[in-house]
Amino acid sequence: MRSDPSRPGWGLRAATWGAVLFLHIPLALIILYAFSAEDKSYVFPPPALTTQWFAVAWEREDVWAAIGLSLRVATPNDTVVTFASRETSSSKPT
Amino acid sequence: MTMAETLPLAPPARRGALRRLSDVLYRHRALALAALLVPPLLWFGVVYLGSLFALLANSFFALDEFSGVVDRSTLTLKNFRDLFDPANLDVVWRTVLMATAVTLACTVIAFPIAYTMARYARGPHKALLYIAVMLPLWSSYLVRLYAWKLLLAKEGAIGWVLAELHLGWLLDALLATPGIGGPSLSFSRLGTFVVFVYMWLPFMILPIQAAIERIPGSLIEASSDLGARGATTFWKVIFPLAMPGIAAGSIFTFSLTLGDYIIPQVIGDSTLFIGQVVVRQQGVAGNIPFAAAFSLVPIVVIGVYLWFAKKLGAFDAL
Repeated sequence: MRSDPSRPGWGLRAATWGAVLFLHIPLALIILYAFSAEDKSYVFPPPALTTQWFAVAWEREDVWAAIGLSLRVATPNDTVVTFASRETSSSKPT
Repeated sequence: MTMAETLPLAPPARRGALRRLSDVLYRHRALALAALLVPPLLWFGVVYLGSLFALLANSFFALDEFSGVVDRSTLTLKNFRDLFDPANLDVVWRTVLMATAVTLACTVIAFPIAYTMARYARGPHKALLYIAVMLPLWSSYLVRLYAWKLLLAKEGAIGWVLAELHLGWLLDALLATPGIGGPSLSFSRLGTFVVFVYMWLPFMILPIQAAIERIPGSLIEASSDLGARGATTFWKVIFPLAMPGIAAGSIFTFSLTLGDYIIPQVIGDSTLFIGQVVVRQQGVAGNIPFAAAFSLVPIVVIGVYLWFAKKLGAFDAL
C-alpha cells in the first residue's frame, strides 16, 4: 500500500477545506455586515440589506483624515515629513 | 589585506573618490562587510537591545504609592516580589495555559492544510491555497477581531447556525462548563481561545508547509516499501522531519498569545492576561516599574520554552 498516493484522501481534503473555511468565513461576514440594515446588535442573519453605511462612511471627515494619515505614514519618504508636520501643527495654538 | 599583493597585476589607482572607495572596498573585504553590517547591527543593538535593557532597568525602580512618582534613585526587588502575588501568578498561569492550548490547536489545524499545500497542490491550485492562507494577514487585525465579535455574539452567526441545526443545547452545555464558559461565546474563554487560534493560524501553516516541502518524496516511498502503513509513515518519517516547522510556528503562536492584550479585551470573560496587566499598569495605574517587571515574564517563559524545545530535539533536523 502506498502511503502517499497522488490524490489526497477524503480526511485530508476535509481538514484542508475546513481550515480554509475557518480562515475565510469571518472575512466574508465582515463584507455581509457592511450591508446590514441593523445597527444596534450583531443579529444574524441581518434583517435587511442596505448600502447606506458606505454613504455614511464616505461623508465622515474623520474617516478621510484617518485614511490620509495612514497612507502618508505608510509611504516611506513621507513618514518623517508627516510626523514633523504633525509635531508643528499640534504645537500651534488652535 | 594580502589580496592586493597576491594579485599578479594590481590595477593602477583610478581617479575619482567613488572609484577609489570602491577599489578600497574591493581589496578589503572585511571593510566592505563591516560597512554593510554596521547599520543593521547598530539598529539591532541600540533600538532593540537598548529598549530591552531600558525595560530591565525600569523594573528595578520603585513607585511612590502616594505621589505616583517613579523613584529612580533607589533600586528595589519589590516589583519582582509582587510578581509572585497569587493574583499575578494566576494571570501568568492563565496566559501560559492559553498559549499552550492555542499552539496545540494551531498545530492540529495547520498540519493537514500545510501537508496538502506541500505535497498535493500543484500549479494554480497551489497558488490559490497560498493566497487563501495569506489573505487574512493582509486584512487588518482589528477588522478580523470584530468579525469574530459578529460570529460569537449571542445573537450572532454561530448561535444562529447551531439553532438552525437544533444543536443549541450543545452550545448551552459548552457555555455552562466552568472555566471555559460564560453568558455567550463572545464573553467566554472558549471564545478567546477560538479567536487566538484564528489569528495565529497562518503563522503556523507557513513554517510547517515549508518543512514538509523539504521532505524528499523518496523517503516516503522508502517508508512504504519497507512496509510502513500511512499512520506509521506519518509518525516515524513525516512528523519528525516536520518538527522544525512546527517548532518555528509554535514560537509564533506561543509568543504572540503571551503578549497579546487586544483579543482578550474584546472577546472573553473579564479575567486578565499578561499583556492586559502590562497595559493597565503603565496606562491607568502609571506603575511603569511593575509593568516592566511583568513584561519580562513572557521573555522568561519564551526562553524556557525554547530551551525545552531544544531539549526535545525540535531543532535537530534544521
